[in-house]
Amino acid sequence: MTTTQEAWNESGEGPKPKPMGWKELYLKEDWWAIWLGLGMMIAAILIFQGGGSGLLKALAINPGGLKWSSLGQLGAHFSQNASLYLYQFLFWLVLFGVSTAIMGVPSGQFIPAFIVLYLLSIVMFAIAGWANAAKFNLEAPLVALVLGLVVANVFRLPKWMDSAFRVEYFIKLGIVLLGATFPITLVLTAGPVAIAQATVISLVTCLVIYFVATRAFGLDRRLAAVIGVGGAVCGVSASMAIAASVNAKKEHLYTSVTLVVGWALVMILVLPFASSAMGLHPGVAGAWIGTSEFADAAGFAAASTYGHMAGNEDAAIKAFVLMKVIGRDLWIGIWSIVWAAIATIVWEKKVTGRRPDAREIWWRFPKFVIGFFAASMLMTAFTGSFSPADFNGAVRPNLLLPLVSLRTWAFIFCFLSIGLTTRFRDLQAVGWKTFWAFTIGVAVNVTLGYILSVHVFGSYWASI
Amino acid sequence: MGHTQPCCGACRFFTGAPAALERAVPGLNILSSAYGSVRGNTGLCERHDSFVTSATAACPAFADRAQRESGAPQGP
Repeated sequence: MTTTQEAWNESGEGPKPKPMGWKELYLKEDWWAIWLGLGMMIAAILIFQGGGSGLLKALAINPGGLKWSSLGQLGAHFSQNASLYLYQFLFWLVLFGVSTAIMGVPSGQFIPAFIVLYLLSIVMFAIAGWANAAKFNLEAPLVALVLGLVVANVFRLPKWMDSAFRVEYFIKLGIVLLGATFPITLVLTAGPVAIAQATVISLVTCLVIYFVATRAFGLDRRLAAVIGVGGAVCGVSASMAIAASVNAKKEHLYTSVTLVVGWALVMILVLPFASSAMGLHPGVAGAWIGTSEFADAAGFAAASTYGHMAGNEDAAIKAFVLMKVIGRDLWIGIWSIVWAAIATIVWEKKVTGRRPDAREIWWRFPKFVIGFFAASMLMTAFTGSFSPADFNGAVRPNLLLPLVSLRTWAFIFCFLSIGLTTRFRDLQAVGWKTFWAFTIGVAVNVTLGYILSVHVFGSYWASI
Repeated sequence: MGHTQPCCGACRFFTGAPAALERAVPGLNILSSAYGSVRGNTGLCERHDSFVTSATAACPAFADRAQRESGAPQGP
């Protein structure tokens, strides 16, 4: 059968891969997450400076902190604040509706689906705001995930509604907004440790999956590479990033989707409770989850859940972000060119044929991370001039907490969307050999991640 | 050496639009996205059912999308 690369092989030279250029700034959700996140932050700072923090707090309203104990109390909250919720809904609808329309998502599909998502998010916040929620482990991420899964698999939502269930877009915006409460000094001091730990994890997990798949089970090396990076770096996103490098088949990526989604859901449920059973410090658990979960959204759900359970969400999320977003996600572009090099130099051009190009590291770099750094630097610079008393008395309640609430909205949209888009009937059946190759990698990943997070760097993560 | 060969991005078998890619691989949007930066210019070759980039050199099965849309004769 003719390969897609024959012409390339015969000429010995092919066209260089081209980036999207400036179009990426408005066609990729990473950049939109930056524009929206930084835009909200700058607007919030200007409103705060202008003395209009009441507007900011009104826009960031949510019933999550209500601690209601009767439905009457909850109903009264909504009836008193109905207009604020309407304004807030329009705020999100305009931001997401316009940006997704520019990216090519049909507005006629997005708007009705987003209405459903917003209403379900209100329900989620209301559940999380129940006075007894913590007693029954009704952590918002877990409840959102389960609620979404039930709705998607019992009621069979039409596929077009996925237009508004943008898991990755929401999590990227949430991470950029998270930068506003993340001191840049922490990023700079903790970054090297996170990158060192992520390097060990990324290399070991990818190589274990690859060699078990090819040597022990005799699987296609392209499939092995695709699921290897899926387990080692960033789930399906990483698999897709190297798919062209190794000329992967469609079924290879489809297999990665099933494996990653299946194990990610299991770990969202298991890791918080395992951390709780072992009494791990939230910072240590956050680092462990950061090394063990495959996708940012799934990891955030797990880290946030354990943070709530342990009473210190801040530490769990900070350690998770350092480990996963700053440490592991940086490997996406590197693996892309490494596998392109392996495919062309070791496997021979006939099998694949895309030449490794160092610029891919930038082209495939998850750009929203830049927004996270920018938000962190901007807010650190802005708040640096306030005295501790002013910071705690004015900046925190009037500027930072509204931004935290907006961030929480983005995360709830994300967690619900994970469940709402997961239709088990759509996932491809995976062969036993492929399943075990990936699962052995998961076992190594989780064990090694535990050793590094708890025993090697434990005191470090506990001090976050 | 100049590059006169057509690229996959100009082929009618190439699926590079994010919405179409998410339809082509069910579940891709659960914990990932075809709208993200990490995808770069990767797309799906429907002819060979494999992933390539829009800048990958075309194979002999190349069918010019522009020619097809204008009603001109097809490639090999």
